[in-house]
Amino acid sequence: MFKQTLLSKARRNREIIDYAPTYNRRNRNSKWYSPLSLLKWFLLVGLLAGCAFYVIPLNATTYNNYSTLDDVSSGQLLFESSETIKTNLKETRLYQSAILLNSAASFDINGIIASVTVTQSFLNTGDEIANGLYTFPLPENSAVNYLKIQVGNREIEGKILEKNEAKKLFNKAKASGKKASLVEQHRPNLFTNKIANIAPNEQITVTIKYVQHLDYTDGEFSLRFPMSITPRYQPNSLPYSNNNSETENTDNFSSTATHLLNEDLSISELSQFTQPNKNKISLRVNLNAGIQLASIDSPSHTLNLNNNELNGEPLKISVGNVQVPMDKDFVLQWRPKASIAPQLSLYNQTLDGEEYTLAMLLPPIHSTIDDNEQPSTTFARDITFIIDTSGSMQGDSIKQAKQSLHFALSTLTEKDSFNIIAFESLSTNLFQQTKMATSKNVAKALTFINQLSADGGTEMYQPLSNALNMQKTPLQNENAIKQILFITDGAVSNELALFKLITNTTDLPRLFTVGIGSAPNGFFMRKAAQFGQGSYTFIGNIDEVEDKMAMLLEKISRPSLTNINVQFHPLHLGNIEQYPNKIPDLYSNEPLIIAFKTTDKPSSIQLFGDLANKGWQQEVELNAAKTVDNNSGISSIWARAKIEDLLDGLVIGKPLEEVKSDVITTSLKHQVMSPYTSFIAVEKEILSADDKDKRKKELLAQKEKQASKKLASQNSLHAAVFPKTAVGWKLQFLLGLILLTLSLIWLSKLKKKNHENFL
Amino acid sequence: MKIFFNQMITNHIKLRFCSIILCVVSLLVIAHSMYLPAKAWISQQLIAYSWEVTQKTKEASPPWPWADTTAVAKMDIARLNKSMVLLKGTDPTTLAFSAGVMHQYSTLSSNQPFVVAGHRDTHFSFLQNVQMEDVIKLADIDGNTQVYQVESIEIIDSDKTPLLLDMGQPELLLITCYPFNAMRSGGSLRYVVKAKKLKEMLS
Repeated sequence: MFKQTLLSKARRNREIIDYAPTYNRRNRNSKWYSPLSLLKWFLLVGLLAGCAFYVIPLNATTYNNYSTLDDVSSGQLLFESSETIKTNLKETRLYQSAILLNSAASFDINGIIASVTVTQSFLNTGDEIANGLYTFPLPENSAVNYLKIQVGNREIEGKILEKNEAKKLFNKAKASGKKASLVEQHRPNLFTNKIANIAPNEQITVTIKYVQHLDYTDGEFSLRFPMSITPRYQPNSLPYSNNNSETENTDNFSSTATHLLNEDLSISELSQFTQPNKNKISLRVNLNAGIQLASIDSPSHTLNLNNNELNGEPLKISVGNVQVPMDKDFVLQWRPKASIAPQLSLYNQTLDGEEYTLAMLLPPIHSTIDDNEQPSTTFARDITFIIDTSGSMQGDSIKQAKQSLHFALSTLTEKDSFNIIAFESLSTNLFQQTKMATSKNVAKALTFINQLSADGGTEMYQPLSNALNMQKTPLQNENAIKQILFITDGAVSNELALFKLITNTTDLPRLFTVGIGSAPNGFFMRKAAQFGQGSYTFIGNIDEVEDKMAMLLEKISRPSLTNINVQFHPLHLGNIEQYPNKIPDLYSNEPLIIAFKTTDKPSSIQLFGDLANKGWQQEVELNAAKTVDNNSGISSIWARAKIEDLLDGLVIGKPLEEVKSDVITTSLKHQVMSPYTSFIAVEKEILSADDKDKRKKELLAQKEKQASKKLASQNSLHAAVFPKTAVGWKLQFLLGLILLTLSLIWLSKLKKKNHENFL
Repeated sequence: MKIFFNQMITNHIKLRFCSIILCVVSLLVIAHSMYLPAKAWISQQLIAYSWEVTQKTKEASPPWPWADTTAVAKMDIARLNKSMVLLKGTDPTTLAFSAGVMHQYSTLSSNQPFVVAGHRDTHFSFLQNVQMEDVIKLADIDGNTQVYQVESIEIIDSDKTPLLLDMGQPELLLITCYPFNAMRSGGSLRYVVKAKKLKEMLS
């Protein structure tokens, strides 16, 4: 350090010495350097300021007692405040959260389906009539099917109604001064419902029910329930002491849980009396896992498990009514025992004399030790890649597509065979028929891919039909699975013809579609994949290519079970309705759900299928013990599957009226959303005459606001990705202009100086 | 002194050379920045011509033989004296030529939304002049015409809210980036003009 300063001092001295004789020149120089250097500084400062403007918002976002809709992390009642915050270019409304009196949540879990009921009570502590907004951050893959709000002596109930009827009711309610609210969506998965005219000191009780499809990754089911309330309106409370006890307890547990059949677990009760002001929630969990479990625990909360094996019903676990603080999300995880073969489990519900049964087929779970033996049990594959090289793929899209293909080729093994079709207005094949994935053939394919460029129109029919009927190389194994991987931005106009082509193909290969770019035709690709018993992957961003392709290729390279068939016992059960009709293959990490409705209850269900090297079958008895209560959501899963199937009928040309009436019947019976029904909440009138007048006045004032409100509901709204809509040429133009002026100034100064010198 | 003088001259020549290069580079930068707006303008003329042809043949055809898009509709805003032919698709290539219609929402029907996107600094820069209750006319290649009236203009943060469309509503959405005069592209704000259907004229 010291040395450095010395050095720099010396340098400075030298400079002075060096420049001393040229004082004259320097003096003159400074005349024409100064405006330029001034400009330089000016530009630099401007640039820094510009950067700062974009990076740092003008206002900090933390406001005491206020929050924005983005902060909602649990069920909350918010009061609209007059304040907003401004960050650069954006203005966000601020809300104040109401005091939470109590909360309760109950979970009825059957395999991979959870039916959740949440009840919360709030209090308006303000001294004015307030308009509230109930918000609840729904987990992914869930749908609300029930809503009830009690405000003082008013009652608002949400129901699924036929769209026209809902519209009529909405208008009628509006005209008569009653409050009708429709479910709105502010940010994805945030359930909100407006509650108008909440009197001071009035208590509000909200009940919502939703059915959730649980996460299953790496052989573990997990349930997450959002309940991390940001504490507001509360005096400083004590910190929790449960963190240190957590690790202890789970350790303790895993030693006892290896042969878990039936355990009674309860979440440890934290001394609620020492923290009287803390929000608490009471939780009740009914877990009907359906399979043998290796472990169950909650990383978020401490579980106290009491081994209770003698209790008659195996595979059922319940967590009693316990109170826990709402300081973080509740997570419950359970892991089935490792098994080399797929495992079948059944869940049954009786509703109006009809039997609803879900069959969940769990892919094999490899324990980490015998991972090595896997390659011998994988299927050989005969795969055809189709890549769209039309003009609309230009730019990032074609890059993404090529990158995806490169990646896909690198995952092929010697057992696999492949071919590539590139298409625009015309289609080009790499090989006449598929060829084995030898290093020579793969090298050929890579050169082929590198030469591709995006140009021309989009003609999909030819390449698709070509791929569907692709000849298998004679060198390939007879039993190799035929797969198609279709990469496109999906700009199709003849959807119907393509769907018919797929559904009419005999010996249909598995079709996997990969959508690329900002606005692929998601509908076409999802449906095409569904008819082709494959899956649809959407890649919206070039950064996601690797992850998403890796996930897809990992999945399709190892199907666990193919050619799955169902057999009921006894054979005659009356009318059987099964969804999906064609049972797709089972892949690792993706449990398969099949929903049945039967007139009589089957005594057992048997599934058949093919493993890589042998046949597989499992029969599970459906005894009375496995029947669960009406709260299970099993029938609504069946109904959702049925509606999906009915709507598919439209795609292949069934008459609209027929489909529509069938969908509406199913939707109303099971209170499941569909495109032809709306979820509407209407207030029941229980007001006194005085109140009525008062409220009418207030309502009139609000009418303006409500008038523009649209009849919309979560599912009839369609969410799309915004396209990019700016070129940004102005910045470049400005840069050019600045550079030009700079160079001109410089040039003129040089001339001037030149002139002076020669003088 | 003389050596020093000579040195100054060579130095000076070097400097001059640099400044000329800078000048040329800046002109190139300007030219490059003008490339897209120029392309946008020229393609408009070609597309307008292809629309005329389409009107006669009643068949969707690409504006130039190698184009991967077709003209779907013509949009007129009488008050602004603005008319524009809309292409199919909202991919970058299509949007460079004209405003584009999202694939899924590209049919002019009485019960479906119609969604158009365009660049804020080329084709859709006029959106900032669109006002409430402006009347927008759309005509498709089959000669169907629908008239819309602007009912709301919103600025949406596309990072936080997806584009929500009511599938049963015959509304017209015009989307572009916001703010209009921002220097950078790629911001998350979108300017969304929503127009409701007034009446339908089938021919």
